[in-house]
Amino acid sequence: MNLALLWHFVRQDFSDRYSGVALGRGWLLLTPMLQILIFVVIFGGLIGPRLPGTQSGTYGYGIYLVSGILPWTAFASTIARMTTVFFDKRAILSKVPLSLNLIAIHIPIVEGITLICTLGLFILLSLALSVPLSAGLLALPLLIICQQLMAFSIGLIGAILMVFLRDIREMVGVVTMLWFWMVPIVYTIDSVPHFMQAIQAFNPAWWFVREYHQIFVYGAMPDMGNIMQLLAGSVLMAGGILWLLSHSEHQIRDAI
Amino acid sequence: MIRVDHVSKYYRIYLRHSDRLRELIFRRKLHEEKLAIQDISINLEAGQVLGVIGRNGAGKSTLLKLVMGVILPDQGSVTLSGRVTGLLELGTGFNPELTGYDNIAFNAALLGMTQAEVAQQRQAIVDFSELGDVIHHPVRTYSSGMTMRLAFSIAIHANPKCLVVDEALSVGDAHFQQKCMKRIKEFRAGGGAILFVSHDMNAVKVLCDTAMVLEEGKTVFSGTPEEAVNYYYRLIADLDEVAPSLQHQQPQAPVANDTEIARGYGSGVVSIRGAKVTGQISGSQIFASGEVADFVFDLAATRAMQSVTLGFLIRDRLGQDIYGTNTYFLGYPLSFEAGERISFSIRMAMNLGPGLYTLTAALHDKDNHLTDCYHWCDNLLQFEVAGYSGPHFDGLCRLEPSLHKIAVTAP
Repeated sequence: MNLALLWHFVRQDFSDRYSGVALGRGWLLLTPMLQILIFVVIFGGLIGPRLPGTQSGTYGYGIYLVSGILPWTAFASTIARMTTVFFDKRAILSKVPLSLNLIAIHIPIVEGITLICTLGLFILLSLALSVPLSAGLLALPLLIICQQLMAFSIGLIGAILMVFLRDIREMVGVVTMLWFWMVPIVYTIDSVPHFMQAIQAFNPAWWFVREYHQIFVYGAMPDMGNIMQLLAGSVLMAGGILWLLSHSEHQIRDAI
Repeated sequence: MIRVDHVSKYYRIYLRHSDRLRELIFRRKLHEEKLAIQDISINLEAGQVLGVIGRNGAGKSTLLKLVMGVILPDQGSVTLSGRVTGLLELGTGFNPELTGYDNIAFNAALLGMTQAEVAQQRQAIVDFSELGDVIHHPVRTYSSGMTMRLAFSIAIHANPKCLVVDEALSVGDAHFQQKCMKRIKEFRAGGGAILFVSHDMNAVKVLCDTAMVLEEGKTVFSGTPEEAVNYYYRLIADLDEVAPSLQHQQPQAPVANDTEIARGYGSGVVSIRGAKVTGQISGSQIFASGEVADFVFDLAATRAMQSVTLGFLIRDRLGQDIYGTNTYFLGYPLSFEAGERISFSIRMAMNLGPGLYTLTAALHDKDNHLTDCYHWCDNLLQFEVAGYSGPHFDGLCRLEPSLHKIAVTAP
């Protein structure tokens, strides 16, 4: 794996998005800042319902909302962009001999960095609103790696299937939209019927969203055993998918 | 360097994209297979240049992609030793918003250069591209020639073991093209191997050591560049069915004999029965530069023909085209009665540099030999330009300058 080249792809991705724009990378922070403010202040402070068992007081629901939406956004957009990654990069792939892994892996890294930036803003805002923060923040890097690894694996399945069926791009859009409402992000897990609570055990998104809630909303340490399971699962899954990728490389290269 | 071992490549043509999925599920064949490359072998050693020529769709691009490794062969294997850089991806991955200088790093990394190499070569790349201060402007402000210059410069500095060149030498202006050509020759002299794909037959003849002709995915000819180019011309003239197997064609006699002429091809309605070249002063096929020479052709027709064109082409010993024209361009159409024989002379001042030359002649219709070719004779005659009938000069052609003192200012 050529790390220098990988880093180039990551940088290229950011500069592609914001180059030629007067404010440049400022937009990278401005949009999420506004989004976080709206969620925390409007939904939390003004019209938000009270959240039981939280120490964050008035902003409780806003904090709850944002701490779920930020990781989910990174997760979902990683999957969406992974699905089309080989097609988006076909101009390069059809001319330069590059490994498919290298091209694919820059997406979760880019989205992971974006997530780190938005979470950083979120933390700053929490400080400004004097919402108490906990030592659980230290577990964030590991949590981000886990969720991006999982998004990478799921997205790579989409990317391989894309070769056989172009509709996958649209299907991924629909599935992630439905999926969003299956995860307790907007609502709390206690407020839904029992069967909805039961299926969360099989919902990979809930496995990590739950831990973000622990850290930001409840000011608690995340369940490290849980995170380790998540990590082991993601690594195993990524390994399997990469094996699948090496077996479909021939078809993918022919198709693009 | 490059070993391509009995490689075949099929493309699966699906009429609908969903057929791929249906095929996977129902295990029923829903595609047509198109053979792009069939059983091709190449062994390219260090310091060698192999030319690949062929018509559009003959499989040249597929072959290059296989060598580059951007697609994988269905049968056979491709083995490379060392870094292979393709000039076919000139400018791939340039970010138009970044400056040329910043783009060097990414593009060079794409070509496999390490960061240390990039840092070391950066200035050389900038210098070679001759972009000057413009290197610090965004690439979107570059002309296509400037972009190409930068891209070529990066590619050649990537220090590859082997270059894959695809029609990319039409980079920039004549000055830069010469510079590229020079650099490529240096690269070869330094032990680099080159796989060269071009429609520029002259470039193939000048640059390549060997050449192969591809047709419908197969190697139909492999040999010296000159033979390959002749074979290719024959191919595009669509005369394969009368084309005899082309063996070594050594130009020999000043007077073309029967076997020489029998080697030609064409419909034969009108044919060249004999040819001879004589210098007016020397009386032989060896004459001085600037001397007038007579090329006499003995032509015969089996039936009455109107507006027949006699064309000829003089090539030097490297196979470069030096001069060629035909009676159509010169406004002298030939017509024949059935069974008539015509002796026809073309007289020219041989303003050529010293060296060995050959003359290829053809009888055809209108201005080119591609539609109706009656008789084509490669290397029909050979002659030599030796010494000078006027003042000494260097180079390929005699330009006869005139010298004048225009004004003199007293000191």
